Amino acid sequence: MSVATILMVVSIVVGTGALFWGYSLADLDTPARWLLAAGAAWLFAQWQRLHWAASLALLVFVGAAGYGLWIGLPASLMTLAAVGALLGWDLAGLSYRMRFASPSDDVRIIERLHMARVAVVSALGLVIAGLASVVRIKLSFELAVVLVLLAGIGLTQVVSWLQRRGE
Amino acid sequence: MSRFNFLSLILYILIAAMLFTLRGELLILAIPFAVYLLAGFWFAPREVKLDVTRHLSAERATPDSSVDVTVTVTNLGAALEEVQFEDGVPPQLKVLDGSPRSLVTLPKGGTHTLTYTVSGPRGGYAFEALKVKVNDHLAVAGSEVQIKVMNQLFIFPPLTRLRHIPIRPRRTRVYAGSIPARAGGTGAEFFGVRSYQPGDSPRAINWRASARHTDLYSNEFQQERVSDVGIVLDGRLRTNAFGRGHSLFEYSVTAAAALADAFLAQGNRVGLLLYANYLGWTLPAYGKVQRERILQALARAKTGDSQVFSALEHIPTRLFPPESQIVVVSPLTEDDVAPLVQLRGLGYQMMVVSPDPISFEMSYLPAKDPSVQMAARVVRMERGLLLRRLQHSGVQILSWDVAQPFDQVVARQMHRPPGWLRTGR
Repeated sequence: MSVATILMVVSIVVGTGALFWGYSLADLDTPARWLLAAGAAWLFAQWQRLHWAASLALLVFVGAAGYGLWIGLPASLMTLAAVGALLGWDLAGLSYRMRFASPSDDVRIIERLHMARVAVVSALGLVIAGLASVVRIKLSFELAVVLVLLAGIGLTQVVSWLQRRGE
Repeated sequence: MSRFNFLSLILYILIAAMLFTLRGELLILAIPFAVYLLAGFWFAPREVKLDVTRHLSAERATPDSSVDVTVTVTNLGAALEEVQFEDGVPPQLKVLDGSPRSLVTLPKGGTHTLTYTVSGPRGGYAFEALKVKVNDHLAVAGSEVQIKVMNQLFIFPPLTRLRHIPIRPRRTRVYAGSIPARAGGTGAEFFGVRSYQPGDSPRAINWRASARHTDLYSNEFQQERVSDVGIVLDGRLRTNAFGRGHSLFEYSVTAAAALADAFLAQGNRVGLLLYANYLGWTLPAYGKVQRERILQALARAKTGDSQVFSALEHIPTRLFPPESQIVVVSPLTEDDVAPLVQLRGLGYQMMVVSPDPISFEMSYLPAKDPSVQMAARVVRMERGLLLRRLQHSGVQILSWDVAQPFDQVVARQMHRPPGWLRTGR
């Protein structure tokens, strides 16, 4: 079993565990059990090499984390669940791409570089998310809408700039 | 949906949910996704500048022999984090060893070599493009390009070497060859006696005839020249295809290849007509280049069904020089007699090489079944009658039980041409 596969399993387990724990804390045992089952189903789907399952699972996990935040579950656990799911989805994609490698290809280099990149990205994401959860500013709804729209436009601009840079 | 679109969708759903629910916490969930997307774009491949060469260990091969394919890719642009290569292997070819796919990291100026071995059935195969998918390590941003690198692989039918095939068309060409030309001159076979002409070799004088007359007489020998030979390969589905997916066409192709090779080796001008759902015509010519052309045409030959060419009556006679030799390679059906006799009537010297469909079918049918045996007897009689009718019309017949090697059948049945052919009727 490759390192990517092991880490993918760990990520899915961490994501599922965080959701289960979060929902259990609020005595929502039934949804918690369903989420546990969803995590198990995701692992089973990965074992069966069902490539599409990772995207569906990510949607479910992010949805569950979002709903958890909305009903007031701990932000740290929900963020951890979302990041775990994101990592699981990313590593599932890597495993899928690895199938294109021929037996003579040295895939360990790709795996190692991917791990390094994804670790930095996840850590950065978690740190910024952590900071965002600590820093709380009271804004009016109108200002929030303007800021969100500005953020959306800004993000789109950054993406298109990066795309142009790529070309 | 691409990974980028999928992540963007999640990101925007989270932002929309935040606005809808007025819960700023939801933005926290969006942050890792935004970071992931931005990192992907930051490291996206800048330019894809690759130099690709493909080398085949052989461009001509025989069925099921292995051919090594080596694809070398050199990165002339910036470093590429993750590159997927997939060489376009024609679907009929089987990869025996190695893989036509690869996943690598390609540094600036780096080279990657893809090696695999293929084999396959008879055919003409084109290796056209190498599919390259380039992306960053997170596979967020990437591009897919097809780099055209053309290579061709011909898998020729197995070539059986035949010895001399006796043909005697009415008209020959001017160049010296091995076919009796029905004209006096220099040669090996006695042709006739004529009056002595100054310059005749004393050895040519027929002393016996001269003794009976006052003048001298010389022996004349039959000139031997090359001829035009048109090979018609019957590719009609209805004559070649049998039950359970069996086909006689491969045998017909093998016979056509062997005949073309033998006729060209004798110095003749040979053309090939594939008569299937279209007419595939290889113009007549001489020599090794023509042999290559015919083998290439035979490599690509396929059976086909067409309403227009369902009977042999549409063989275009304009393609064959008048009174030349036509060799039809066909399992034959009842309807084929009339067009073949008609061609003979037009002055063509006809030869039919017919892979025996009955023996072929019997080879995989339950031979002990009385009904099969009875059916085989009936169709065998019908075929015998059909061949006899053709023979009576002056068509030279070679019936080939495909269980036996073609060269042996040719050697046995054609070691001596029939009397009517020797006398030049």
